[in-house]
Amino acid sequence: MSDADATTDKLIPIEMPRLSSGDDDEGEGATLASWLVAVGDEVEQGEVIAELETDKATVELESPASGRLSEIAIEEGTEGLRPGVRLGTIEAESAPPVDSAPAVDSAPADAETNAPSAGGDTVESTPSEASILDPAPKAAPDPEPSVATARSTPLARRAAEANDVDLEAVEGSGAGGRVLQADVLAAAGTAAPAAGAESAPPAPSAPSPSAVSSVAEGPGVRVERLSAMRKTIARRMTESKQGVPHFYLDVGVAMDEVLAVRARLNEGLAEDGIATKISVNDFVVRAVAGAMRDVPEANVQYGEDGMRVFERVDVSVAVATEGGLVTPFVADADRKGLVALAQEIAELAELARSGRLRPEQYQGGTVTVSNLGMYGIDAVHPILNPPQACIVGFGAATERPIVREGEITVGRIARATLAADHRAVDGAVGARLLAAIRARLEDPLGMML
Amino acid sequence: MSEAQYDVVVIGGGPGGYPAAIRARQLGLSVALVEREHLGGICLNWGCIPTKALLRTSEVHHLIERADEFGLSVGDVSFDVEKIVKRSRQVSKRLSTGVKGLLKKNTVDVLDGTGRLAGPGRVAVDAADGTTTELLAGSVILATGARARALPGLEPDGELVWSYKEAMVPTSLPGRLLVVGSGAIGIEFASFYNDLGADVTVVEALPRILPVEDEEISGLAHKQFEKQGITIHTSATVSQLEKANGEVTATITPEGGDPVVATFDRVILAVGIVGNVEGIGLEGTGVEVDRTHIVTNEWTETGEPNVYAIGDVAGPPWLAHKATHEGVLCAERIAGVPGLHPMKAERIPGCTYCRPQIASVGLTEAKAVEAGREVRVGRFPFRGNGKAIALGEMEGLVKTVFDAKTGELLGAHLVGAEVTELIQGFVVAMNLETTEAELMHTVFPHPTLSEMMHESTLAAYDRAIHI
Repeated sequence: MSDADATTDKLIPIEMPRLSSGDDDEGEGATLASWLVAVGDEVEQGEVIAELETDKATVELESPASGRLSEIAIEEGTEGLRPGVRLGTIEAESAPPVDSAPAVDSAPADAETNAPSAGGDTVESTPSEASILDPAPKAAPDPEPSVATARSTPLARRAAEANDVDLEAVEGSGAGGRVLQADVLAAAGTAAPAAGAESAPPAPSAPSPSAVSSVAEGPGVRVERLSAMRKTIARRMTESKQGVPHFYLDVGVAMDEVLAVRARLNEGLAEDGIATKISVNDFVVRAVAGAMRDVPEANVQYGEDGMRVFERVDVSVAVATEGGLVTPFVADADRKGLVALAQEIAELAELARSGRLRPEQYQGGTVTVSNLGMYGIDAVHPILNPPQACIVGFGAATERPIVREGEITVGRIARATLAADHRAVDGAVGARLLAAIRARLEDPLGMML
Repeated sequence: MSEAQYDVVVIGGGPGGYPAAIRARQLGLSVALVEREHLGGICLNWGCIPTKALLRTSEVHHLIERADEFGLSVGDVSFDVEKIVKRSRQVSKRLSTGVKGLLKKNTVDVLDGTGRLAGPGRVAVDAADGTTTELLAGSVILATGARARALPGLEPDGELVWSYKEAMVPTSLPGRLLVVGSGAIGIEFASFYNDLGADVTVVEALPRILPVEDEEISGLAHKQFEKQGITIHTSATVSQLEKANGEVTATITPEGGDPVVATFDRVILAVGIVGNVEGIGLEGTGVEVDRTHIVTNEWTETGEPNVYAIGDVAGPPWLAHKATHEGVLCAERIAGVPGLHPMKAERIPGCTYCRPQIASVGLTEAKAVEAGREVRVGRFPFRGNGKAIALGEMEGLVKTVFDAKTGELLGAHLVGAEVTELIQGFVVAMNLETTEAELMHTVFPHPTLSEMMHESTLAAYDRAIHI
């Protein structure tokens, strides 16, 4: 399957329908009176494309699918046509029809090019693109699809789990494009199940990363044992990336005000002999917390048995430690002043780096902030911190040319990226959240109130 | 006289040929079908259908003999062989006329005569009156079927030594019957005649009867047949048939043992079939024949462009439903229908209508293991099923074979009452690529024999409830 093309063309036959309600045994068949479209025309499912005549009436023939009429097999005027005869063929696309949604047109393009996944990882871009534009978000593969519309067979689904293959990305060779076991195994690069295949227990289990070795070996390669933390990060990030439909929204935030206010505040603190220094990140955390209060629809988590709606806003802060990434959280972050926030975050970061965080300090949080601006990074496109529905990536505030009231000037702009779980948070909600974050950061004094 | 031109000419009007013709017409192709004897072929006229009609009679007879068991009392039971046969012939006639009607309704041109290839794109039809018609054909489908194989020293004579044909139209019940060959055909006749009161002996050259079935199933059937009074010799051959005084004396030689000589009233030969590959103009064409059948690829194509072969004249399994599906596939292939899939041999079921019935699909346990699969096997006996007990049909088994790693249903093997009607559930499930989970979740109706399909699946995973 090519990287760029997520759609597959299918040939759908246009078949002569059964026209009379009974007694076809006595009938002589119908006549294809006229075609209303020509080869090459685009047709919609349900559109009338031809007229059929029986000896009793004229009947309209509707197109069985949307796509391009690729072939007319039966000419106008042909008589004696019986049910099932192929009249023509439609070349259909299998991707769902795309509906436009307000204010997110630019996002999909960005999502495609800025997707944080490694190159060639088509799995990520496709679901997020479709999800932004599709008013009905696609959930993770339904374990019990209805028989009539099943896109994959039970064996295919098992094989996909066992071989760590993304079912959505496999082209099906079965009837109606259905994905068969053989298709999945071909995609996994294995032959038909033999004695040495990966075993899967009869009861479906959570997807686990494949243990198949495509990892480097040999001289110049040292193998380090995985720490428990590393294993956990690996597992959780994989679960998040593979299992949660991420979408991404970007915005540029003018940070001049924040930087000015921060400078004055820190000056004041120093004068008062307080050791605490407020960082840009503290502002970001406070803004995110306030924004979550402004847009409570984002302060949620998806659960199959029901959406979890939170009363408190707890902001997790990503801290890089020697062992790996940790995310301790600040409870009630929107109710704490900047100084209190700064002190608490500094304390948590210290505990994190020395490995002394208690579980109740990092098992929680309703949103995460991941700020890599201090490394000079322009934009961060983070992976959701499961089971949270939102994470904000923040880059460095750098001087850029901007336009203000028709005049070109210089501003310090930082890129803020919201990654959200589309099962819980739709595009509009995400957009409102990100807009609120920007609004608060661009008017920092308003946050003080 | 200009020749008639057709997109497709089908040679043979049996269960391969006539569906191929009808499907081709449905797809808008012009079709002619050539049949030399009777529409519906062997299946309808001298095979599947009449034997099922006969076996119905023997089944009813068997039940009548058990009348007391069901609380009924019946006087002297007698039967009229002629009437039994007549019923089966009527059933055949009705269906054959039905096929004629279907071909007419679909405006297939039917020609009476023997069809043969007569050059690229040409088919010659030799009529009974000696005239020959030539047709132009875009594609030719060979569906000429097969006939009984004869072995040296074992040839049917139409009187004392029967092929399946004579066995189907007896004029009287043989007292002592020898059946040579224990495949489906032989065993069905053995069962039929035994249930009407004949003294039946079956001789099989291989180590077990019903050799293509799962070993466990053959074994259970063997025990039942012996209980019914049928004498069975396996790993044995019939070396000689001596006819005298309206009787046949046969020499039965078991492998590595002493020959047994026995006398019978009639002998039925059921030692396999050979394809009708003679006299159909294959010489000088690219059509390849392997021993007695035409070689085809998975699309029913032969070595000659635009010539196809389907059904019994092509490769195994030699079953009517395989012929039908090949016929449809072939027609669709010719018409250029996109997205076709070749048939999977392991999803073609086989049914034997003896008593007890046998039905199977997919790999036997032995074949699955041989293929390197790790298997889970489920077994559920008829005597554990409420309906079976209520019917008074306690002998039987439903055996399922699953791939232990993926849960794929590899095979299902059944023996017992009505199993030929149960097997379809497993076949449908296989075609939908079921795992054991879907079969376990399916709600089977109660009380039915079909519940054993569910229990057998559960048993494969040590979860059976009723045993």
